[in-house]
Amino acid sequence: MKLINIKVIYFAVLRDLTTKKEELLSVDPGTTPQSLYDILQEKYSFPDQNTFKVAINDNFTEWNEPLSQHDTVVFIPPVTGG
Amino acid sequence: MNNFIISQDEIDFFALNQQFKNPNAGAISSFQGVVRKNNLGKEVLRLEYQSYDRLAQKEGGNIINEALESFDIETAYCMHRTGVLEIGDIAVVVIVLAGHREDSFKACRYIIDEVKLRVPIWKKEIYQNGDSGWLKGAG
Repeated sequence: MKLINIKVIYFAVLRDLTTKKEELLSVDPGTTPQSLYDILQEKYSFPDQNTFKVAINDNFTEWNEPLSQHDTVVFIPPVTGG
Repeated sequence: MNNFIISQDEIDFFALNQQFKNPNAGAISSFQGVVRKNNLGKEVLRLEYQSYDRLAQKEGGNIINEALESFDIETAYCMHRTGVLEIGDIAVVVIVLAGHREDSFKACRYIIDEVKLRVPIWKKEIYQNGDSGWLKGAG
């Protein structure tokens, strides 16, 4: 199966853990934000994502939404603005 | 006019306030969130704010529109800083113009509460003792 190319942008604690603002990844078709997070959690020791949200292409989305070619994924830890 | 702004530059509250004039507004409510020198028992040296700008502007804009629909107000505006802020710097400003005080207060409160809950902006505290950390948030 042909891999799909995506971009992940990191903020806050995830940026500190990866020491990256963003990275390009090739993943299996059918990969979801949840399965992607699981892979990255293993790689970078990310915290549990129970309280996180996720966005694809600058829209909040569901954790089980399959990713498409050239999607941009952002994992959103609990916000602390103000 | 975009009424939710992410700014990397210092917020000049008085200059900002001067921009809002409306002969129908008998009430102007405003809120300033300011960097405080202690949190959870630790001495804070400075803060760093990071923002997911595109989604923050979208979600912030949604909150402004909700306030305009829910309350009897003329104008609602919010600006949030990002980058490194020192003690006393303004992190966020909300300004609401309304015919009367009741709805200007309510809308101002609604906007700051929702911004703190929903807009993807994160705060890192840098402490006097050299430690630092991203705040956990409400979850």
